[in-house]
Amino acid sequence: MDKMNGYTGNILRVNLTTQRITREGLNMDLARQFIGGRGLNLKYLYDEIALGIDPLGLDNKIIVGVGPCNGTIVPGSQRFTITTKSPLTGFIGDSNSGGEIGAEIKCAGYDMIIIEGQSGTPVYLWINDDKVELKKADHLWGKTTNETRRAIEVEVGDPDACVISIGAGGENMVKFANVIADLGRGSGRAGTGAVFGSKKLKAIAVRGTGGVKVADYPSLKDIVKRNQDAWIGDTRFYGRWSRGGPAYNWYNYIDGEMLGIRNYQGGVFTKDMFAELGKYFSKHKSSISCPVSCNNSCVIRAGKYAGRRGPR
Amino acid sequence: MEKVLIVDTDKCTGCRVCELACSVTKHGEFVPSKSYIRVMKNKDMDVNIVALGTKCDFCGECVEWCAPKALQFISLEEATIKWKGTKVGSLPAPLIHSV
Repeated sequence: MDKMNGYTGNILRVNLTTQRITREGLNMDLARQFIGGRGLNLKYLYDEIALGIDPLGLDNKIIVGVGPCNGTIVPGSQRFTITTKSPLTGFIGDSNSGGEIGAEIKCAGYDMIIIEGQSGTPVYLWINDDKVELKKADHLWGKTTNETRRAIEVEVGDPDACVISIGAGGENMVKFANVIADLGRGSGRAGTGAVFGSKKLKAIAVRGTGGVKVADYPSLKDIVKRNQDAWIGDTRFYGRWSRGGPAYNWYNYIDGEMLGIRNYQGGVFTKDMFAELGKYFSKHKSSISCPVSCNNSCVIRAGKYAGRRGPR
Repeated sequence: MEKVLIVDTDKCTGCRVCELACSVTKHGEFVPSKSYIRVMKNKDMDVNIVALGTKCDFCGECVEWCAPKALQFISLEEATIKWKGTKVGSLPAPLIHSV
């Protein structure tokens, strides 16, 4: 079937055992049946891995995929999906996250990155449009995700490069380890970080300078504008999410005394304690193309940990 | 009338919708690297500074899309009077080379 707008039609396949990097065409029939991102990732994973494999072994694969809306102006379209066999459940592992790397993968010209095999030494994958290489990551092993991002940005010489990486949890194959995207976002489900760690893949860094075409921009603009106006006009939704992010939904949990401290060893959070968090707020941040700035950054201004920062 | 883009860096969330809107209007596809407006970031300090390409024709598409209302166009004269010598958080966008 012909190429569709929204898809680039390319898959990048990286074998860590042989260090071989190949490009192949996306099966457009499958793309029509299983919409990109989660659906298409799962179909490819289902077809490519055998029954009963070890999630942390040689045969498992990591598929990083983006959908047809990634890289366009559609609000909330920035999410990318990491799909693998989960070491936590032994079943489908599917985790998505925001940030900018989804759009960047699309701009680099790929719908999907399939990582297979296992590397003997730590490596990271650097994708700069058509130029793709595996680089040594011995010096990054043991570093936190933020330190890794900074080091890679300097190493590849591009501050616009987007990085997803694992920290100590992933390296040591903790079964619920995350993969952290550059804006303090995390693919938190299914232990995708542990699979990265089992493959000795410290990070994936992407920079794309290409574009994403759509068939009918005026119609898209009309729909997106109407949606965006509805979101922004809804003060309950927009006001709360823009200020607190998903944390604002936690009020429901607080009302039900369900938000435990240290696995309920320290009691439960109260409304007053939650309001205290406001003093750490520093800046509203959004993922690419999203009008809702749900990713606020926080800074600790005094005390033992003064100067530390992080997502809310 | 010559115009200036005023950016409130405190309001800018770094969503880059302006880049997407500009590029699709000028190039027919979403290609942020060729946009006439660029959001330059310091990811560690959460600073977003918007810069304007020299090819910008002040069509207003970026201002229209900006959800946090961090962007506005005003006349050069007004900007000159208002921003000469001020040291506040919102500032006229600096110019960069357009690809």
